[in-house]
Amino acid sequence: MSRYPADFLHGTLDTLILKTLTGGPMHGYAIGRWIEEATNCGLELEEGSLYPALYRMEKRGWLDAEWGTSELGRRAKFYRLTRAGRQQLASHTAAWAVFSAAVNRALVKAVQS
Amino acid sequence: MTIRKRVRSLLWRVPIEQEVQDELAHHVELRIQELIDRGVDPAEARRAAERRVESRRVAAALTRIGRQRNESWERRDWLEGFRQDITFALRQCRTKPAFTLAAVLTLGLGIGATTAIFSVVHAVVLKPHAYADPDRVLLATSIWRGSPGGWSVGNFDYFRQRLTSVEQFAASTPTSFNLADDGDPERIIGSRVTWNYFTLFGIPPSHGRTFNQDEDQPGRTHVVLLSDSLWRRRYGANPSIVGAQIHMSGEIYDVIGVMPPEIDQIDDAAQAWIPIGFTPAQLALYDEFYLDAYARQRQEVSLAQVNDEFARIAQALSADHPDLNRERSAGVEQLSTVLVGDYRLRLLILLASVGLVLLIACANVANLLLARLAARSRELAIRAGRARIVRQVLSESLVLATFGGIAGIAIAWWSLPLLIRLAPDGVPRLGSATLSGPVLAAAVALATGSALFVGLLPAWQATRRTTLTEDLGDGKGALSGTFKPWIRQLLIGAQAALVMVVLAGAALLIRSAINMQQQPIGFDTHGVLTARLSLPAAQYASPEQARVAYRSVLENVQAAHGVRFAALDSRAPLVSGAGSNGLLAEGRPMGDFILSESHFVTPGFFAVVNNPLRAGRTFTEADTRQAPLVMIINETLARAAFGTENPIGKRIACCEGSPGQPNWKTVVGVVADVKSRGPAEPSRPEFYLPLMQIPDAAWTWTGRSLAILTRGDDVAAMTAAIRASVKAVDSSLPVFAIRTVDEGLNRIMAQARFNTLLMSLLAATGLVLAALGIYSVIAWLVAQRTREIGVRMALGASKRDVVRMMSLHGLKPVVIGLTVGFIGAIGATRLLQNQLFEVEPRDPITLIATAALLLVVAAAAAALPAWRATAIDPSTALRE
Repeated sequence: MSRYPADFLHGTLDTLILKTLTGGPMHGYAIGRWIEEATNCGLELEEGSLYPALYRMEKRGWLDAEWGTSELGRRAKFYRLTRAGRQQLASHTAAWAVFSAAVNRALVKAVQS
Repeated sequence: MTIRKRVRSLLWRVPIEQEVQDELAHHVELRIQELIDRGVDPAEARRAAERRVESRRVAAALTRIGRQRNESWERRDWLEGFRQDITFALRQCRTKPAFTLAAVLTLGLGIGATTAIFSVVHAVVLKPHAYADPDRVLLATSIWRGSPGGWSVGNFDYFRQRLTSVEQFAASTPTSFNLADDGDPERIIGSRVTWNYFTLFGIPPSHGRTFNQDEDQPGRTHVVLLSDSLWRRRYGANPSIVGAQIHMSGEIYDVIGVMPPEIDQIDDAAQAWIPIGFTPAQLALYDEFYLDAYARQRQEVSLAQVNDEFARIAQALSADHPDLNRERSAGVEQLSTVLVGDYRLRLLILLASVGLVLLIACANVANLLLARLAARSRELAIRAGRARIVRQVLSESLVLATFGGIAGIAIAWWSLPLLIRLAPDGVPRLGSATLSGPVLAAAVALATGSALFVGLLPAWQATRRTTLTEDLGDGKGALSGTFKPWIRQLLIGAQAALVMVVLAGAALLIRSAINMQQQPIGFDTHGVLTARLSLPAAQYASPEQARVAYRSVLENVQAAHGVRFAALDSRAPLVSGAGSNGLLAEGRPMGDFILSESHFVTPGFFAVVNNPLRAGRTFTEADTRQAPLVMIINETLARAAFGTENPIGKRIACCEGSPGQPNWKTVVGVVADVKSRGPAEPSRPEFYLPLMQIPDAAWTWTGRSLAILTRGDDVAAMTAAIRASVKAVDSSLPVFAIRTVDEGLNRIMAQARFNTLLMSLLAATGLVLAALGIYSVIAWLVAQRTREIGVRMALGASKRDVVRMMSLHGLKPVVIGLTVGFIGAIGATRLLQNQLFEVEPRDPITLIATAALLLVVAAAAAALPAWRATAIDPSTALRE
């Protein structure tokens, strides 16, 4: 929360990834596709952003990774939420609600005046 | 749970570059598939997918983050493993309380003793001195025929006027006062100092001010500085004493200030200071060398330059005043070096000895740990990895050493005040020894070092497994295969070597102490009491007044109940006081003085000390100033002055007169030498003059201060008699330093005895620890070989054969260790040279006796468990 709001948008990708993984373990490509679809606007997620974010979160202990077999029958790295990751998601989601509400209020007010 | 998984993933983990490459390749693969599914040409799809990944740049970033990730995991895993090891070690401690207690107490004693001694070394030797710029504060000595001594006023002034390499040159001389204000009359020790004395040391007063130059003039010296202890004790630490007036020795002094306790480090006896105020007559006097002189060296000059200048000025002085300064030179030393003196070496020897005992203690704990690990070798075999086992074993030794360190600090905390109280007087700065930061840091370092020492050998042993199967197979096989007995034998051999060195040092000191105790002091000290009395110059200005007062006191004492003999002496045996004179035997060239210690005594003196008269007669009441001047000399002086000739009737010049007009005194008697400075000091030339024959000026030399000596059976009665006798003459006079000569002897020998006591305690501790070590190893070996012993006994081996066979396992390494220790002791005891009395550092009897004692103790320690082995019933042993 202390990073609010400067790093907030940067942290948004992390939150989206964590949210994605609440459904169960996924590999990197699937995570990217899911976010693109969920945001529903063809938001092109750069691989240059996605994978570093995954590695960073793995380092922080929010994610755990294991090698498994993908739907194509190939060796793939599967990511899964850890307890710390779940806590991070909860707190970030709450913060996001506060933040977006605040931004909304400000925008509405600006239009009125 | 996740930890376990992570450990596994670490074990099978691929290199980070491979991981990144595989993951990105998989991503590209899926992307191509998707593009093809949407109808893109396969070749085009591959190009597009690869372009998006920009694989080189992304891969580099991922590799970097991944590497950091791995490092942080490894750290976390290591810490987690360490935590587990510590938890495991703590559990081990709990399950084996006897072992834990033995190990912790052994280490605690070793660390505690070393810490306590180190705190003393730190306070006395290592800690910076309290005065400013200790490097530049020097003690100046006047050296006559190679022996250092004090300064005469004339010589001091001669140097003071010429010295350029020092900023300050100050002098002091001890004095004493009868302090008689509102409280009880009290004798206090003080110093008379030049005005710049405190400036030189850079120690400011805690209240008021120090002296100024005007006050250091004859007639203006009635100002006094009090010591912190006197101020607290007598004046209740009341700051308003500054500005008040006090009565000392019948005169009134203005209190101008209070000095802080730091000054005790330079002048620990003084309780009050007054300006010295040299008179013109004193300044012209180049005789009487009683001043202590100090200098503060200029920043830009070196010590060698200061010494050069002192030597140069001494040469000029010899040329200007040749009669008294012909063979006189002068030099300086850093005061800190002089203050610490040979305590440095003594304490470092003590520290080294206690360090050796700590090593012996560590060896014991290492031995215990080895035995315990041997019992767990199967469990250890299951643990993966040599590094893991080393860490596990070191964790256990670390836990033991941590508890040992805590116990050690507690022991040091408890024993340090005891040590300070038992220590002899006069160890500089000893009182300031505490468990300060640096001392605690040393204790922590000792505990850490002990942990390594105790743990490394067993850890190394534990990793030297031959094969896993061997350890997992037969339990007994594992024991003998992994934990060879030689490593434990090596430890007891090392203990024997270490204990031999400490024991030899202690034995030499004990022999010295016995020698010193048996050293004849020259007279029958039993039942002799000494006390000192000083008459204030203000009330007893004329020598006749002093003579009358002392005569009355002596008559009273002689008549008192319980006093068989009584006498007066300017310098009682073993009591400091009075000075030395240069004596000139008739017929010797001018300047060929014999430095000799003076006694001014009443005729009864020789009856009190009862030292044998070798020739001639003792003094009588007829030896007055009107009769011919006579003197009695001791054998040492007789030899020095007259060689083998009969000294009776020969003449010696001393004490009065001048180089041109010597004052001759006839030798009427020779008495046996008395070790008046203690048994370890050689006899010096001494001479006796009848107190009633000394010139009037001598009352000034002695400061009207004399010792009262009595001989009788009842010390309490004699003490009361002296007090009452003095009180009857003048109730304002304090009697001080009342003690028997035997007490004085004890005090002199306290230093030697204290060192001996400490070394003996250390040696005894070391011996007991080493014996325990030997015992435990043999007991362990016996336990290992129960079956074998049973077989041997079944085949007809006698009990003696068994005992011999088993004890030899312990004695062989002990004998080897002893030999090494013997050689070590020959080298190490040389350091004790200065502390030994009439015994050589390599004294063969002492060394051989020490080795024999050690061998006997070792044999007993080995034979005890070996003897137990003979109780083994062959049939049960074979069935096991």
